[in-house]
Amino acid sequence: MVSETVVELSRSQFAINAVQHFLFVPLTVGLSFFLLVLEVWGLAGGRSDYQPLCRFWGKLFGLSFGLSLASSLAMLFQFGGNWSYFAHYAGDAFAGPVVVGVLAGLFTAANGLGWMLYGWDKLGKWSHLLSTCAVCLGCHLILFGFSAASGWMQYPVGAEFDPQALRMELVDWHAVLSNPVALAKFAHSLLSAYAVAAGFVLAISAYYRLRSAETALSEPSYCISAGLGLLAIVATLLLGDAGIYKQSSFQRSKLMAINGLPADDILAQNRQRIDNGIQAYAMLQQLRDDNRQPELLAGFAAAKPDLGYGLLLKRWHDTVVDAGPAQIDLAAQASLPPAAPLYWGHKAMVLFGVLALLTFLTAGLGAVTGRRQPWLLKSAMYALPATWLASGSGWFISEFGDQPWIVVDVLPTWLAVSALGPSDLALGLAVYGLAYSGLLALAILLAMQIVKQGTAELALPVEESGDA
Amino acid sequence: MLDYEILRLLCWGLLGLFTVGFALTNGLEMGVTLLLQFLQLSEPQRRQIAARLAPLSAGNQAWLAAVIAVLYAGWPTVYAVVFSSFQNLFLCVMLAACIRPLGFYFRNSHDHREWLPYWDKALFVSGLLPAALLGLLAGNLLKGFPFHLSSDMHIAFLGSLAGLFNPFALLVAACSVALLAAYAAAYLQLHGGPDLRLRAKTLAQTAVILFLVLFGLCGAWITHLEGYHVTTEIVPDGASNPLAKFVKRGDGLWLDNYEHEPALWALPCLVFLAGIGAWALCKFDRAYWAMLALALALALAVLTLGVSMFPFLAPSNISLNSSLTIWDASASRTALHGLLSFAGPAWLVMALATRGLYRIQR
Repeated sequence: MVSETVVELSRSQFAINAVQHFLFVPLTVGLSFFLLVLEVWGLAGGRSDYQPLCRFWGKLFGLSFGLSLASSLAMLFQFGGNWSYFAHYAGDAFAGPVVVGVLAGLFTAANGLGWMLYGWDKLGKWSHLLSTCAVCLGCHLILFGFSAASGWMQYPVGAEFDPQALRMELVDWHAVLSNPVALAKFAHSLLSAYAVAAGFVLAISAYYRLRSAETALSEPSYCISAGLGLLAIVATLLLGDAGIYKQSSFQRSKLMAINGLPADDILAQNRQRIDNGIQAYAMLQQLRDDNRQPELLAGFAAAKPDLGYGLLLKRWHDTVVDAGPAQIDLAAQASLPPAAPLYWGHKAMVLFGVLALLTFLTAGLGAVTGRRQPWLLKSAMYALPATWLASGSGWFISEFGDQPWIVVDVLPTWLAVSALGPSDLALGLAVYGLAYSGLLALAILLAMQIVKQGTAELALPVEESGDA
Repeated sequence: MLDYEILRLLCWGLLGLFTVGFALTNGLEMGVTLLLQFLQLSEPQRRQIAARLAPLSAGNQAWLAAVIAVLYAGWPTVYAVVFSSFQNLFLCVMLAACIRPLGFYFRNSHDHREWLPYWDKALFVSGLLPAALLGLLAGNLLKGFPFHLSSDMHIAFLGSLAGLFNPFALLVAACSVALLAAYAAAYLQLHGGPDLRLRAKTLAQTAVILFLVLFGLCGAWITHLEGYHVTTEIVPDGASNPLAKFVKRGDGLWLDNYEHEPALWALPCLVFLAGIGAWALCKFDRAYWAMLALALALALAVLTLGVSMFPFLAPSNISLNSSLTIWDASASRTALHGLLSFAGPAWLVMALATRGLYRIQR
């Protein structure tokens, strides 16, 4: 029997990890693109002074990449560690995009990174550009792999339940990788990643401009980031998030919650699906007892899309099959996404998105007209959290809004955890939380040092020491 | 599409290749970081070594992520069982893996000299800890660990963290640390300055001897260690249902594969030969070849572990029939086919790219 404590502890651990993920992955992906733009701009314009610029932002990128790497590794360990039933139940289809993200994306980006950061003296300018391209491409592939994986959790296409292996099994690779929800999510989170990175660069450039320091760095960075951010935000607004919501009834019920509309018809539909799910669960037990009658197989094949709704009942009635109407009621109520958090989460996303849009708009106008009033720069500085909060609320809606499901219509979150002792979990959570806060504090400290230092030492050739 | 049986076998080989890639790259980094503390180096020497490894560090961690991802995609249930059972052990491995690239990066930025001793200590721990813990993991996999699969495939781990520190697993852990230390010492003998070279040479020779003794002890212990064997007929192309078989346990059963296929003895024997060869090559200052010999020994040691346990991936010592093999805990045929056609070429590209990047650094 799954205990509530275990579920809560596992969810807290995931929440910490997700926060780390949403803080640094968008920044990393966005900055990788910004760095590429910067280097191409420097090379194409034949500017001699672009190197310290790239080095400076590269340092901050290295920090952000390190933390994204940490959070990605943590996720890879966590799916098996804390969510072992999910790993078993959904891994067949879910792991595919993860493999693509790690083997193609993470590997390319991580190896390119070494040369991008340390290779300035060793590589020619074109091979250095190649390493920057590798980092940028790799980061985009990581985001694609993870979007495809999390898109599959929201809209699990290309897989079917197999009663013998007792899990979802992949039937169509292509469907998983071209999942419409995943593609819409990818586009949406990519654009918001660009906006996050642009907001970050803009704030730091504004900080320098305000002090009239580092002009060689801040002037071009300010202009490029204002333009990039404006384009990204406008594109996000034009693209919208409709593609994410139109595909399935659960996604539609999320949209209802976001708009504050009641979802009574979906509730009634889900009650029906729970009834079907109970049938499917009963038939599954017979199949597990090696009953292979053709009519049973046919019956199960027809009912299995609703099996997840039967599992939803497990929280209130472990044996599922003889659940009473009160328990079915509870399960049906729980089958809708939590309305209030989604409603307010979406409002927050729009609010911060508009704030970010205004910031980029004024900054862009300031860049074009050459105005540098302090209020303009200050607003760009203090707007630093706006893009993050907008993108963060987006992540929140998309992840938290899937409750009660970990894989929508297939596997309830409540059932997906590992059957570990609460004390082991609490210990792991404490160590992880501590290490994570330490890492975060260190990162902020180091980022502030890097900014304080500016490009002062970066233009000089790196001193070669050692006795080799 | 290939046969399910062939697919399972090929993907198992692929998992082995990825593990070897991880051991050779990440293992080198672990070995070097743990040696830095032993060799009493001067600051310029440390800086030079760190500068050499820093550009490769993040890429090395990508190999770790790759092994996990391939295990997950190929044997989701094994991944779920192993990572939930060894949760706290993996937490340490993960934290170490996160600290190393950051450590190298900031150890070498000019502006934090007052932090150096801390970074060095952190780097030392982040090298020693995973080297030992992954050995401990291998030891526990050989012994079998206490998990149980319920009829609805929920996984229960019935052991404790303390239980992982049993004598056999500790021996394997020591063996793994010795091997990685020898491998890294040969690397330092090859790339260090003249003064360092001499000390690294002595260290490499000692570590190789230590490894050979420990490896021999592991081998001797395995002849009496309880191994596992599937007693019911194996259906290599059957559905992935681990609960449909019977498993027995008995002394020396891990040697079964070698009895059926005596050619397999070549693997552990070659580990020995490569080790002895490496010792001689170190002695006669052929550091490059010594390193290659040790890389071979490391790769073959990983494969020896896999072959001895074949077809098991995760045996359970408490509920024998819950044990997971490559035949009954794998991904579906479609998924394995996809994995093989994507990760197979990817491994080749990754291996060549990694080799190339290490080469530029020379």
